[in-house]
Amino acid sequence: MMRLLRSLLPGRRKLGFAYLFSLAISVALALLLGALMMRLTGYSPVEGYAALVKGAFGTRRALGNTLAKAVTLSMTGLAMAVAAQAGIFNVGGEGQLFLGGMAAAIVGSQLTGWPAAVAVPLAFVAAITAGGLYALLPGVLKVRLKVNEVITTIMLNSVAIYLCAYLANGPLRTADKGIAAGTNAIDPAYVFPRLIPLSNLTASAVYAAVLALLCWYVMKRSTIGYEMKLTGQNPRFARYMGMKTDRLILWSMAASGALCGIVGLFEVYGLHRRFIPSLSNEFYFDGMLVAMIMRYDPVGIVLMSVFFAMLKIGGTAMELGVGISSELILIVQSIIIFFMAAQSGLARIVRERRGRRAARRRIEGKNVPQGEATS
Amino acid sequence: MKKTMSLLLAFSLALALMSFAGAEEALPSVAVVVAGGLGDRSFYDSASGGLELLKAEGVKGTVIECKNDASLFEQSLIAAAESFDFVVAVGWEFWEPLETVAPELPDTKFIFVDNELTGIDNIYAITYAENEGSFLVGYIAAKLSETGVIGAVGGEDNTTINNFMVGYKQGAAYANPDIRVEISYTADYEDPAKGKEHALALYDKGADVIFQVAGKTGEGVFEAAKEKGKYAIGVDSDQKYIAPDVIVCSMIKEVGLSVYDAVTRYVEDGSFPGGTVWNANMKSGLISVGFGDETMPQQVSQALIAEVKALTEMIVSGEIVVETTR
Repeated sequence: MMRLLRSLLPGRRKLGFAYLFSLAISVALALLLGALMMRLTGYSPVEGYAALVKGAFGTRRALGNTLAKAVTLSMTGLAMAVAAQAGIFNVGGEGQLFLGGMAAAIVGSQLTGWPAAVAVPLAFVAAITAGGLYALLPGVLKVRLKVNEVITTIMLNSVAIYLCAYLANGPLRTADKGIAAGTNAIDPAYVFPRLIPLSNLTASAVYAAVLALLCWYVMKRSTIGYEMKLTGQNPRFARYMGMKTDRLILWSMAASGALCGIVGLFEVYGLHRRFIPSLSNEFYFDGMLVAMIMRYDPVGIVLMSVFFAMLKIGGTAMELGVGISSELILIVQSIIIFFMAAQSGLARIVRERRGRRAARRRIEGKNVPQGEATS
Repeated sequence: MKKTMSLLLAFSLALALMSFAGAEEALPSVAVVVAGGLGDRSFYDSASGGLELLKAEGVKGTVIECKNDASLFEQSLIAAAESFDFVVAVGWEFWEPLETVAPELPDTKFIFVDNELTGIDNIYAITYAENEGSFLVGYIAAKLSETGVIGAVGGEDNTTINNFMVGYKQGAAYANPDIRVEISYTADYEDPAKGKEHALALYDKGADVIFQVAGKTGEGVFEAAKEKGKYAIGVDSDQKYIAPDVIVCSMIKEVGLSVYDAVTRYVEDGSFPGGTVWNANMKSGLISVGFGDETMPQQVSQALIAEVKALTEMIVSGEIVVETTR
């Protein structure tokens, strides 16, 4: 299990051309299998996929929903990637998201009547602090006591989610009519404006774009990003080079948690206007998958998020319009993930076979020039 | 002249036919949007059953499942409203999404199941007198109990679930003033494993009959009952068929029938009481107790069933007033 997880961490593996090529093949194969299943269940695949694309991008509202889903996916995916860059496997984003959302909701519902320009940044600070500090906990355990972060982060999810459920059902429960569980609503002045009316796309998307750029810059262009990468690839080497690896690990963990906390804030300030116990439906785990498929490459994560969001939003429309069960989309997604997980193994088999054949050819026909055989 | 007359006749006949065809098409289409997912053999399935009844009469309809993804609530309602005349929102969770969405879509008729949202012209809310039905199953539970302790597993500590609980307690005390009622909340409607753990804990506390009010989570209560050889009570639909040996009866809340009633009333006379709440109670026949069918073993004696019938009449006539949390 651990070896499997470790193999998913970014190491020498890059998002190279060969990888993208096999990704494209996986996606195409998955879509083909999906089409086959549509056929078998008595639907037209062309009609089905047309309804899917139209349902995801066909109207302004659909486009807004797809982009909104992509924002959530890419932010959680980037959070995963930031930690993975330093070699940490943060599985605790879900809990960090809940705590961030709760902290932001507390600020927004307690500090009513303040100017939005003051209150909203304060809410960001609260969400970043809550998510970041909560992620630091397993980080410190890892650095100081060598406790495996995969286990601690998974377990801390439950702690955070149940703590928030307790607060929303207990001390912070609203008296508003019709709300069974949840905090008080935030001041209406703080609610993010919707970029497309009646869609889920809010000003969160603007903040998310800025954050995504920042992530890309830090991970790909800054010294600290490079140091994080070295720490992730070879911690001992990085330490001998004089890098403060422990501190780098802690910072990347805090950044990852902070991003998750901000996703929680987006859900509260954009959609629900209060903390509700069903704030996230395992959004972080969806983002994790996207990040893993794209090998933690920030640009790749954003692009893949749009694709997965299209499948998700379009899938519902496909079910409504053509009658094909939206579960089919889950199957397509799973097939993509399955292929990509098998990709490194498959690629190795192909490489080895090719190598063996080349070697055999070299032995059999000595007249073949060496350069040609190895090409 | 004759020719013109016949032409006119034919024309008017064609018109009449067309208007008839128009009447056929005038059946409204219905989308049922559920907060969770189908397959709970309880609340959501009951709502979807109501749609099946309507479909049997030629109404076009579909079910949209939000699968507890709160970010999809509003969007599912809007998507449903774009292609259907009636949108039935099943689950108290839709309160705020409906408040936001319904005023923007005045041409759509919303039916809101399980929460009393009033004052918006195109929302007709239906709530249920779960307390009355729970009174009856509480009475049965107390009569069947040998230990003097009965239990209940609730999906969440909230107004709707507690409306079951107050009736259950009152009915139990009506049968036996010394009865002890133990209640446990799972904070989850979708996890049978949790339901089982909570039920096992209640059985260990001495309870020998447990009422499940937790949707899919409640399926675990039946599992625990089977394991321990104790009794359980089903909820929302007649669930006895799931485990006839341990489920003694079910508190039926006819969510599907109430939706069916609301839509057919509109089809018949065009009435849609938007902005108001209909409290579907025992009097309207939508709240009752089910005992499965004749093929299943019965743990409740005929004498006790007769007592329950008498109590039903007393509740309908207002002789017994059941407490409520609403």
